[in-house]
Amino acid sequence: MGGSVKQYWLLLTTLMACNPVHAERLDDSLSTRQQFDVDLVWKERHNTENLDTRELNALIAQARDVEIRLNTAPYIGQRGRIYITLPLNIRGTADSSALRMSWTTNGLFSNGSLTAGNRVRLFEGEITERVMTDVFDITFEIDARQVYNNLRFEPIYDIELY
Amino acid sequence: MPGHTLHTVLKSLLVGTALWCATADAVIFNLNNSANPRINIRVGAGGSNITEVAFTVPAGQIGDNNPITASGSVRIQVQIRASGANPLTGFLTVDSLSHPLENTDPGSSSSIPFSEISWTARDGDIPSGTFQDEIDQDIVSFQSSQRYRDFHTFSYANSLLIESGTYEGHVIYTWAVP
Repeated sequence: MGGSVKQYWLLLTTLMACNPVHAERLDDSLSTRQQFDVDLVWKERHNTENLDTRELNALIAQARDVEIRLNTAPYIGQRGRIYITLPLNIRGTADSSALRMSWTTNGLFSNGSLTAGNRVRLFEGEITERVMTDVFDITFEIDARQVYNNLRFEPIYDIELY
Repeated sequence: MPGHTLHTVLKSLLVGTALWCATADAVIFNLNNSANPRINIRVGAGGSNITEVAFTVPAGQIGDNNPITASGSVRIQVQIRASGANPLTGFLTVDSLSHPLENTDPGSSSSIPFSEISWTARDGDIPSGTFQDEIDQDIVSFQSSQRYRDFHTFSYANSLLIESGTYEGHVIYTWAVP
């Protein structure tokens, strides 16, 4: 029995270590669409003669009207910081750091940008809604030389209470 | 049985945690690589313009083997863009055989081969060389994705004793991915 308890503790600790300390992942499965397919195209298509190498190889993809709904019901009345993270390893590229995601919103969440493997704050304050909803216009940019296939990834949302 | 109770609680916690991880769905983005490869070349002024290079040989110096260098330089620039999924190699060639330098004076049939003309690259990215009187003389090749630009200054060898007059011809640069 003691051995089994120890094994559960170990497994439980391992599972909890999947998330940052004091941060809890937010469920965004209430969002109206669960998948967005967008095309990566050359950012600069004309008058390319004077572009530097970075500009010459820039690809962009744009996702408009991306409604994100985060289930914040467990945190009503508490103060929290909500973050968005892009996973470090993104399928389809050899160098995820080449991917940048930038966005504007309708105002509930902050505008911002981040690169793969990093985390940016979207919101800080009292949680007053059971479901926090905002609409994002998102631009993805990546160096074409790092694109080896179609890219597929899911941003992660989490909350820290304070 | 305290041990059993603890075991049950831990088991419940564990199942709950595993369930939480499994149900935390996320919006997925698929970025489809739709960037078609592109190549581009510019020689001289670019567009539909043909840039002219002129050499003036004084009458008393024709064929004296003292090279005549044209004033100014010609910009030559090539671009090749492709994603890492489909890297490409571009080849720059020149046709200096099809349209040789011909005497424009009426009744004259004199001509000068383009092999009398060479060029010096300012930077060396698109290297110095001499026209070989070939249809597809290789100059350089590059892999995607880059832009290469250089400035070439042309020189006439002046090694032939030719009929005096005005000679005109043109070369054609081709930038292609086989």
